[in-house]
Amino acid sequence: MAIGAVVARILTQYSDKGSKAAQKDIKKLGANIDKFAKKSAKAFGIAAVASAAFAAKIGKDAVQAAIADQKSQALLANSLRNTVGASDAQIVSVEKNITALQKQFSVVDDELRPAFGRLTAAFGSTAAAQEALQIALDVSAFASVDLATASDAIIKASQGQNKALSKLVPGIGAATLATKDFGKITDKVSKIVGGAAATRAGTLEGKMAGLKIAFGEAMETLGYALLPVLEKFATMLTTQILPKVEAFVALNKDKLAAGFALAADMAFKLLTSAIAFSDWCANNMGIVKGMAVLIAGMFAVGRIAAFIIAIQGIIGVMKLLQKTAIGAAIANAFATSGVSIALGAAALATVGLGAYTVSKMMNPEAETTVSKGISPRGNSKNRDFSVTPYTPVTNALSKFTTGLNDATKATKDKAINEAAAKKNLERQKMLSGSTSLAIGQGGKLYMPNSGRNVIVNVAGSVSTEGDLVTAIVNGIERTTRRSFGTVGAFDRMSAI
Amino acid sequence: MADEVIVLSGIKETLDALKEFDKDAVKRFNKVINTELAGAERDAKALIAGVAGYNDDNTPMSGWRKADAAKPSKTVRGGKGWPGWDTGVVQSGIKKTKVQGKVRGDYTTSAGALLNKTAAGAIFEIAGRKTKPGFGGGSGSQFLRTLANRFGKASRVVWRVVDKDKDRIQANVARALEQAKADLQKHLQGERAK
Repeated sequence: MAIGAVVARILTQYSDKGSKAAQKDIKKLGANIDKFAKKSAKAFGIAAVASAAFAAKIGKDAVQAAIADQKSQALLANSLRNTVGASDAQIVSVEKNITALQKQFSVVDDELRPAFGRLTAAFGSTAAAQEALQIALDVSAFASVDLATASDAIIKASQGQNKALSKLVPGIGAATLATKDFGKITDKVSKIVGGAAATRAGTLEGKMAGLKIAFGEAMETLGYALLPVLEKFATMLTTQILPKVEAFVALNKDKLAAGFALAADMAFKLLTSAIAFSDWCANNMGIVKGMAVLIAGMFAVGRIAAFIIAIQGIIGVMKLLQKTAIGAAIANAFATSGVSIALGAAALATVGLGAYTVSKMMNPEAETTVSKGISPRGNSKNRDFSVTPYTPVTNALSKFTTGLNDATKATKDKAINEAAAKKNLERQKMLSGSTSLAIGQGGKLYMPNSGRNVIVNVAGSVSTEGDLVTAIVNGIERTTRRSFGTVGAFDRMSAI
Repeated sequence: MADEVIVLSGIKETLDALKEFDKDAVKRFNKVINTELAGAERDAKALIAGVAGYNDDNTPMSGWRKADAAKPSKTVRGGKGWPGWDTGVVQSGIKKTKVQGKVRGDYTTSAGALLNKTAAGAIFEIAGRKTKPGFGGGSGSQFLRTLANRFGKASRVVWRVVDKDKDRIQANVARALEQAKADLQKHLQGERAK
């Protein structure tokens, strides 16, 4: 169609495009409606919750108002019966009068009833009390005090005490007061304050108070409707539910008491154990940390059972070693057992902290030696113990255990040989009686006299204990760097 | 300008389906539309001819130049200046069309329309539809007033024809469409009988 031209359409038809657009629009409309519906439902839901809460509050307030009103009525009725011997009909009449006064002067019945009760007691009749109440209402409005104050002032005036009333109504006059004639005084007061209550009720404040009273009355009405339900519930609670609870308690009081005692005892024991455990942890923080790191590392590789078996093997061997020899003997055993230092060191490096912890647990004195022997040197990167591959660890552990077994056996053999050699020397000494000494090869051994230094001449090298430990450490570090990277356990161990 | 719109439904679908069975029926239907639109076009062109006969110089007004401005005012029509009135050109700008055009908000499109394509023809067609001539003069007031006095209110060419003949045209086309649908139905029933 030409652009910019005047187009006069003669024939018009529906279009596929139009239909699709229509469908799209309808779909969009539907989506919008759904959206609106969801929002509306949500909004209505919120409104429902709010209205439910509001309804609950109204119900609660209504019930409370009804209870208070019921209590107020009952108190007044009781007072009237006791003071003037009022009948039920009179009480009903008084209630009607109070209700009328409430509406007329916008004063709540909760104020009217006590005032009326006191006035009735003071004057001895409901009729006189009603007249006095009317005056009290006017005085209350005139002096802007509550009805109780006004009615008390009138009661005192009836008893010859005019001070309170004269303060509330200053224009009574000294002459009138001096007469101490309650009739004259009330007449004077009525002339001064007459109509004050009605005037106050006609003001905006009074109307608002009337509105509030009307609302309160509505609440009381609602509450009176709800009271039977609550009374029924309370009755059911007291007559059915509580007796069953009491019966259950009476029947099972011993068991309950025993149960409570047992629970208390268990709690005490648990607490005591916990305190003891915490004390032990505090005193053995190094072990705790070491074991924690060890277990954490093994958890990381996920083969706890295999590790425990391996550790048990190590512990057994180390216990055996403790019994036989430590230090240089172990180093010699390492050197002579056929297991390379590097391999053993690799195992130690892998389970360094575990071995350290175990050895520390078995022999606290060994701490110094071991901690000095495995110092945190070398690469500072990749110290995460948890990333150590498991298979090399178990393999190294296995080999290390085997190595220790062999070392133990060699140590024992050496000890036996030394004992045999000693016996042999003693025997030769006994035979030769010579004081010269030479330890040589070929099975000829000579024992020097006591107090002399011994020069040992053997094939290979002989190191001191410290040198051997240093060699082990170096081997550990070399192997660690080659095989596993740096093992963070060393650093953790040093931090302990 | 007529406000009411009579929408014909099923023109395209009917013709597409009918094309499979009876091309002559399609031709007959198209002939009806073409004839009606051609008649409308002819009437619109006749109106232009009548306008041209109002003055001796074959223009709607004596001051309306026959050719476009040599030095157009920059403020008129975006610098194109006032368009000249050439009766032949304006008549040639009156066209019938069956192009659908864009779909409107009421999901309809055109199945047949008259176009008034030239600038002079468009001005003559709709001048004064929106802007009413004032009493205090002004550059366009006299033009609009004269135009209205001589040729009536806006919608002076194609819309006038459409307003006049639309009902007849639509009735004829609708009748032809019903006939085409009946033909299609007949063919469909025949196919079903086979």
